[in-house]
Amino acid sequence: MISLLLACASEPTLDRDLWGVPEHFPDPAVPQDNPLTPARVELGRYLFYDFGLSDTGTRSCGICHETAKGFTDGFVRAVGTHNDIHPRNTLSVINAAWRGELGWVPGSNLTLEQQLLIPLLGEHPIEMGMSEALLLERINDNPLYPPLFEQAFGDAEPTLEHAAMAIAGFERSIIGGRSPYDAWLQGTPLPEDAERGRALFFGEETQCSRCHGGLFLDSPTNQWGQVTAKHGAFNTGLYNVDGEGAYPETAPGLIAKTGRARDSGVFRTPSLRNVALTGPWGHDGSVGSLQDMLDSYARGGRLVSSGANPGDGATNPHKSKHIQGFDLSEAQAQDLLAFLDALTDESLLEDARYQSPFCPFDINDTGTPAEADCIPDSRPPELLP
Amino acid sequence: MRNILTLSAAAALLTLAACTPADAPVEDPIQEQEEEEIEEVERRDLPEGIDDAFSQQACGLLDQATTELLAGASESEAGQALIVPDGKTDLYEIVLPETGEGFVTVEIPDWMTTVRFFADENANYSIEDADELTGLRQCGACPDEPISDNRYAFHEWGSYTLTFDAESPRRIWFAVFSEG
Repeated sequence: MISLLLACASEPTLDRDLWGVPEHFPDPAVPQDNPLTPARVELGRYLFYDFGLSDTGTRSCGICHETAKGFTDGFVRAVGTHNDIHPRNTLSVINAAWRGELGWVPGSNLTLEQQLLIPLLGEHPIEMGMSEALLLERINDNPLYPPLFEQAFGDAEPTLEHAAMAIAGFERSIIGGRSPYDAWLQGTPLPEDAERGRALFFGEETQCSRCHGGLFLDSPTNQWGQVTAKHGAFNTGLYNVDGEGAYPETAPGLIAKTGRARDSGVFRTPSLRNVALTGPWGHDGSVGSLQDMLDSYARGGRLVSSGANPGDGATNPHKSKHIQGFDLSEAQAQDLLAFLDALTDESLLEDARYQSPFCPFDINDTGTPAEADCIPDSRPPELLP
Repeated sequence: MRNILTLSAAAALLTLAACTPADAPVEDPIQEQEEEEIEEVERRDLPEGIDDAFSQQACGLLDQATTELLAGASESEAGQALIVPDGKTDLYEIVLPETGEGFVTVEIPDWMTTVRFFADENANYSIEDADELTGLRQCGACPDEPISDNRYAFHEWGSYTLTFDAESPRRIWFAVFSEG
């Protein structure tokens, strides 16, 4: 009976052709109570890119999950509307429909609908600085929204629940599965350097795929390449602040939830799809280049020689057993980087379905939005730049 | 109180010598004069010293307690030291590593932002991908103090690397303000 209920709860309600799900992707997990419909996704796209959904009018979901940056923000650690620094680096929302775990710290058990309320309404840190009342006021005051809510939910009156469902729906519609690596999965050869890098990535020498395995390169695998869990979480030896395995207090890892020493520095493994676009890297954005990340893994952990958190991550006692280090020639490193580049779905960046419906600032400023295929900025006048 | 407030006469002379634009050319006196004139014209729109609220703010911080910030030893480690020009923490003591250069990440939280940096006069620093509006000006902020002043325009929000060169003192008084 329980399994029947679970099966119903995760029954796919997504039209694969309509949403362009690649053939080699499995069905995504779309909640039964929030099916993807064009009207909901369109409303979600408006809300996702609406600067009016931040208290100061300077943030939208889409500005921190920017298309050109692989739906991340380019910051080491994001800065909220009141200049609070987020403790962790911004994650991509691409292929969120297939993600069972959200955020860097494992075990959140949040749906997308629940998770997105954290940046919207959260106070520690303040990210978008909204309250439910202010959010509904902003939406109510914007004449764009009643018809969109009516079409999406059969009710023109906006609610926080419907707004969250629409934004989550739009996020689930952002699908990236047309990279050169996807083409390789379907039989098209990779460029030679990327192919050599792929062999290294999945080989025993580097063991990259032991943590970054599976279709989305975020699942742990065994020595035969079989996925052993949907998501993994590891200490990758980025820090060893006290010589006993501690990470910086601002982002200590799973230990913050469990209190167990062995969970120090444990963060969820992010997908490597589009990784070339999503820098800086690491749970706290402290890795400035993919070459630096490779160097850290090749060394068996990062040596932080300066700053407030010095220490040798290679000797972190809680480090994953897969982070043992490896020898890599410069040419091999370049091949690995070429493979990581081959994980980029360029089509995603230009896909009109994922772009903001609102005019860029400069078009607003020229006062000619009617000539452009976009909608004038919907922020309240007092919040316009 | 910082020791810069008790300069000797000799040091004061040196300070006066330092109170010229750091990037002024020296080879050609005529060109130098022309460029200075151009620079002066551009500067008229950019207040400094007693006419400038940020300079006054910076000068007012000279005897205030600083927040120590340990700079990274390489660009790879710049992410270990973050500054946000946010009005919460304006004043730092940047501690450079013994190895030489120091690297700090400046998080710019908005578009089209102008940021003012005030530093010890001997500190040399640069920021990639930002427009230096005035160049490093010695003593522009506080005419009686050896404090340099610089203005950068950041067109996009994001993280920028601030690089202190190896000739800088190991400990640098450093104030940061966003002009908006």
